[in-house]
Amino acid sequence: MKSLQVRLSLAVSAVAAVLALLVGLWSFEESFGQARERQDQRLKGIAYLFSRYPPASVRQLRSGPEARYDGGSVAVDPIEPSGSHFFKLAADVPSGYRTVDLNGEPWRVYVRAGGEGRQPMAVGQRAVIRDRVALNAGLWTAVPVLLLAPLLCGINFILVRHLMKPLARLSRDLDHRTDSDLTPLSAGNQPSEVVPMVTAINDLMRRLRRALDAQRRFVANAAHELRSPLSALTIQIENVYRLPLDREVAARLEPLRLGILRARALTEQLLALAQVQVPAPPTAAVCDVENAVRAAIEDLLPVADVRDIQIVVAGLQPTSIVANQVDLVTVVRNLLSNAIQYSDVGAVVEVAVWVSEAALCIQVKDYGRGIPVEERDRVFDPFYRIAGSRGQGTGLGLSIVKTVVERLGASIDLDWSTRTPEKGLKVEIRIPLRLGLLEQCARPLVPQLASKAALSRA
Amino acid sequence: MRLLLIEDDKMLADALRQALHDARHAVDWVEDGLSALDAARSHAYDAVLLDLSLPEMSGIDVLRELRRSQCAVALIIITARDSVEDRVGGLDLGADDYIVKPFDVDELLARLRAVVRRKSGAAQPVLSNGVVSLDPSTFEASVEGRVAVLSPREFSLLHALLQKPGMILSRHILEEKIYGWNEEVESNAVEFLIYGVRRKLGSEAIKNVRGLGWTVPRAKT
Repeated sequence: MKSLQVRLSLAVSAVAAVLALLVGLWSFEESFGQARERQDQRLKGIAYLFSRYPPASVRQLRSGPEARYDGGSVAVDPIEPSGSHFFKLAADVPSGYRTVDLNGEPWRVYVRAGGEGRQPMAVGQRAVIRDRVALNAGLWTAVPVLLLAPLLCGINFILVRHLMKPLARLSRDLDHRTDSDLTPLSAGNQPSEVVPMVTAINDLMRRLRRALDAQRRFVANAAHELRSPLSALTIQIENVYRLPLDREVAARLEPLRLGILRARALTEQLLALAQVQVPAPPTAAVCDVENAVRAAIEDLLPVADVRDIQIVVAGLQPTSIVANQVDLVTVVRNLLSNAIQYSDVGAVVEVAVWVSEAALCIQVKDYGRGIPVEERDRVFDPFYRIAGSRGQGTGLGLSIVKTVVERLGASIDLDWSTRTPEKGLKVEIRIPLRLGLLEQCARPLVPQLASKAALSRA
Repeated sequence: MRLLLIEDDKMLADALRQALHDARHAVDWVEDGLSALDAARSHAYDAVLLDLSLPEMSGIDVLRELRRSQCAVALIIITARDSVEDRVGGLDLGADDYIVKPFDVDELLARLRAVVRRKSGAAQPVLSNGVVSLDPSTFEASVEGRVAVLSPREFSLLHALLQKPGMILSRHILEEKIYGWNEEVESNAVEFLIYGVRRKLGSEAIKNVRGLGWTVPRAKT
């Protein structure tokens, strides 16, 4: 039971219930005892009155035993020198309370002994009646207290829930935040017990924001610092290649050129991974899926041409999703790049786009070796390479894809392209459309984007 | 051409100067924004290559200052930053094109030519992707010495594709470029035109990406 609210409610309710029970028992006990005592006093009072001022009726009572008790609550029994008629008490019985058994039924009897001209007198009451009266008295005081317990529990539950509301609101606020939303929480209307927590959380978020800013700056700086020398290297080797070269020199330069290209590709992918790993501020941008897919294909068309690989697109319709265009292009480009790389010369790579169940699905299929089922979880790890793969890649493509996919709140699924024989890699990505959000911003943004795209093409 | 290179990274600047020199261009190199402004104002350059991340005065400031002083020289931004905002920002301020590090020299040279041609206002220049050339004044297209005269619609099609080699144009966009507002578009008109162009220029002249559109390949590097 993790809920503070439930625990608090139960604890307070349990205390209330136990207290109510204890108080109920105590008051029952008290009233019960007092009621008995009161009745004893009453017997004593009646005995006193009758012995002091014996009315004629009492004297008459002496004549026959039947008339002495009329079935009422109290029996008055004068004690004669020969003993009493009703309770069958001896003449010399001493004063005081006692229990007398009469025909198998217990009676509580007070005896007032004679002397100084007094008539000795026994006054009795049926124990059953007396107990019933006492019980009634006890219950009348205990029951209201006991009835209070469930009422207290109910009130307490409502109160606790009400008082916990700020906490619930706070956790809901935190829960609904996106990864990148690090704005401080408002401590303004929080109860004073919660304020330190809010302050601590805000402090944590501030530090996190600082760390993220530092990372963002580092990535930007690294991009600049790494790309400049790599550009220089690329250009320098191209400069060399423009000279008439000795065949042996050219043979030795070729690995250098390839090495530079590889370092360049690796740097680009590393920077891309670092960039997508920094949480982006929430976007309200609308991304034209057709444009994004086209941009990715345009980037890779020359690479595909070199290996005579045909890219085939199916189902591409004008569709918009809420996402950064760059993110979508990054995903499609990396998937395509992988597909081209692991395809045989002259093969086909298929891209399909469709909308189903409020999600945009993008599928990229190649007919290369595919990824064995047991490797599919690990291929998303940075630098992971399947044993025996050709290893031209940087080992980062799928990590980048996975990171962006998570950022988009999308899912990714790997499968064979063909079942028999098990061959080729089929990657399917499902991006939730977030229709509400799309409708909100689609109208003002789409024409703007379209015109910008048209401008950049012109 | 006479070029001004504004680049603070000496290694990259040296490599670029060599490459541009090899391509028969004269290059002046400065390392910071103030010298760049001085140079640009005192010499008539055909084009400026501007790195965005400069010490002290940033590349964006240099660009803004140049354009404010009515200097209309053709300008290409060289940037290591690949964020969309930077590029759009640069273009909004009057840059003619941008190129992202690391880049190939051939791509830079092609863009330089394109920008300078556009700036010089040469009416309807010859378009080319390095393989196919198109002369708007004669409607003539040529591939490796083979010359063919295109029909007006074939010309519009190839013209649209050669505007930016490597870019894939969908059927819809091509139809828009080829047909006027009130013209009826037949269902397989684009295929028919492409068939015509390929027959005249060879099947490799226009490449098809099935399901997406057509493109003329970028200049081979």
